[in-house]
Amino acid sequence: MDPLWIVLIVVGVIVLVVLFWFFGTYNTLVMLRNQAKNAWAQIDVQLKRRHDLIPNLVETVKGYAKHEKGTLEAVVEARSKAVNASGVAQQAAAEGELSNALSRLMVVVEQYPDLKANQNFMQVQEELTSTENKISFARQAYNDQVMVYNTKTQMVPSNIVAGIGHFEQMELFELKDEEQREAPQVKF
Amino acid sequence: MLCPECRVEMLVLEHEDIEIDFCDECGGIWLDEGELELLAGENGAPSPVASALASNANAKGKGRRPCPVCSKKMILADIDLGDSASTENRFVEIDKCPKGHGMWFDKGELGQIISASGGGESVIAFLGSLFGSG
Amino acid sequence: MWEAIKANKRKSIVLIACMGLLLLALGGAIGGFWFGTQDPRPAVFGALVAGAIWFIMTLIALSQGRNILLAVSGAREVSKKDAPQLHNIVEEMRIAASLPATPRVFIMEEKAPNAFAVGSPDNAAVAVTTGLLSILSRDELQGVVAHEIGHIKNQDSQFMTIAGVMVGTIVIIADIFTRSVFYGAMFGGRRRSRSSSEGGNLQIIVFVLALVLAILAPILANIIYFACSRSREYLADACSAVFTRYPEGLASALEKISGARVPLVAANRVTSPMYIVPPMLAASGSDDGASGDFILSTHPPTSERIKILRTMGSTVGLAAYNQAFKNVTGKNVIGATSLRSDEELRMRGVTPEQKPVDVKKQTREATDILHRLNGFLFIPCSCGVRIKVPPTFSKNDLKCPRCGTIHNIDEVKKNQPGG
Repeated sequence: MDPLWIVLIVVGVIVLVVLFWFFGTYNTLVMLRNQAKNAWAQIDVQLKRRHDLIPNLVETVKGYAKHEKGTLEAVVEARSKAVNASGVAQQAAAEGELSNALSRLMVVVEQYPDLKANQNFMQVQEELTSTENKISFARQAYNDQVMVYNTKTQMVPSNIVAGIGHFEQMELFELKDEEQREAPQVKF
Repeated sequence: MLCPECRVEMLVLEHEDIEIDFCDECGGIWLDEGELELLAGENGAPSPVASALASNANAKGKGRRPCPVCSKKMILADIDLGDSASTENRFVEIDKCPKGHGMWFDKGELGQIISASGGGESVIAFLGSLFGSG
Repeated sequence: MWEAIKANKRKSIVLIACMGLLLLALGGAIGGFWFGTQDPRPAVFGALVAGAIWFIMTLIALSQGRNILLAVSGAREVSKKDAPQLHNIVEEMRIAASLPATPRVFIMEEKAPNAFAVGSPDNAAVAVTTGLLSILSRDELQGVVAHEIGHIKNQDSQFMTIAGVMVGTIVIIADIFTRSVFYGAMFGGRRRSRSSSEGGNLQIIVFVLALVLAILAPILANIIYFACSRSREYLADACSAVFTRYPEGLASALEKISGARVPLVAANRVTSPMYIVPPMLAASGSDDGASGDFILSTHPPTSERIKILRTMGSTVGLAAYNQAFKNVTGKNVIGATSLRSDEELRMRGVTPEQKPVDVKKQTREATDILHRLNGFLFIPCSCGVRIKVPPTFSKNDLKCPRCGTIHNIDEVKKNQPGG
């Protein structure tokens, strides 16, 4: 056979392999990005759920703990800030503040045994505890996904595909400090 | 659960986190094995009522009522309420499941148990606080 | 970390293929045994029949298995309204595991503390006993649920069904074969005479091979099956640590569960591998599997599982689990290739005070779920007694046996929303 043909075939095979690898990597990146986006949607769902629970909680507490106006107002204010926040970093900060305000409220509530025995309050409390947990687990799942995705976009050789396909780094959902990080895990 | 005497569904009464089954027709009660365990659980002192359930040594023969859990004929047994009980009330005859699922007190037996002082016996104290002096 | 699942899947496929080859070889050897070895057709036919039996049984098991298992164990589905906390915990772990759908939640009325999961990631069910709800704290329950969600995420239920059916098929075929050989020899009706003159050597080899396979195949298949089951238990434990970021929850739950020596009434040999700890062992009161026939056990020794979880320290990734496993047993449990990039998973901030579990109160909460399922009406009497009225109660007025207060059933119903 003509050596030119052999060269052409070899080059053709190499081009095919590279193409397969390129599309395969591209698809993997798309899949990882979508998984991370899904995980983010989960956080969003749970954050909204928490925002919805707070008015109910505040109403219930008001009836029993009239002297805790300041603490309650702080919760309401933190909630409205969190509702209006936009962007991962700003949202994370606002939600962290809301978590802190809530845990302060729960410390105060300890002084009202009647309130703690109230059926409605106990229901809201379980829902809120669980929503806090769900937020932190959703954040955990999101961060795990983002970490995998970011690693893939940075590593050689998949970073080449990421560069050509405009796969940008995603932000981690981090709370500011250790204290805040632990706040969502508080059990009431 | 069905009352072993009247065959109607019993009510469930919860008092101090313990449940008993109570027949609204005949006033008898069923004490479940698990509930007896919960009652005896914390103080750990061997209760004559609970230990009567565990052993078949004091059995006096077959009764006619079926166990509401397994439908096996229950056996009759004497419970020794101890020295602190008055002499005529010292022994109470009750029905108990041969497989240890629980014990049945009819209305008269229940009254007898409650009127016995029982010396800190957890089951008697519980039944006393639930049905006594009412 | 999901690399681990991929590695696991590959391993599973290899093992299933090994078992499949064993099954086909057995079928082929039997075909050759009965219908001669002059040409390969009887052997191929035997292998095809064996494969077909397995295929049909697997189809039935996969389509109906979940419902059958749930029915056999006496599990009943509970709504979020009836068991809010349990539902919340399942939902939390669903989120942590990023499962596409929330598993359905079931409760078994059993004093023995135990739990199991069945189904695929997008259609699963988690079942727990009332005994489990009575003795575990929220963190411990979360650890157990996370272990079960780990099984779902790793698709263990399906794999163990496929493998289990294959073991079953091998055992049945081998059994029928050895019996027929035995009776055939007893009554002298051997078909061998026809072919005794031709192809002598090959024929003898096939005979011996068929008999050896019939004896060895069931044992081999069982060993493979139990080894798979055990390694999947470890992986589910590791997943529990990763999902909850708190291995101590599962560790102390396992301690409590193995400490309770109550037999699980509805469990049997078939359902046993599904549970978080083997129900039969707890029932027999023997040690937790550390002694005895370890090779033929579906679960690793519970004491070892606890020790591994407690050795993990403050990093909770799969790599950390593998390291802890290595420290305890000296071996690897998760394929080394799958351990990358999860080094920085840290244990979560621990709940500041741990209240001791109020078993009495939690027992009431668990049994109340069942009462609600059974349609009981709850009447809190002012004297402190809670009266739970069965739906078959026919009278309209109910006198409290303690204080004599009359409660009107209709009125109570009216005042209870949704009651």
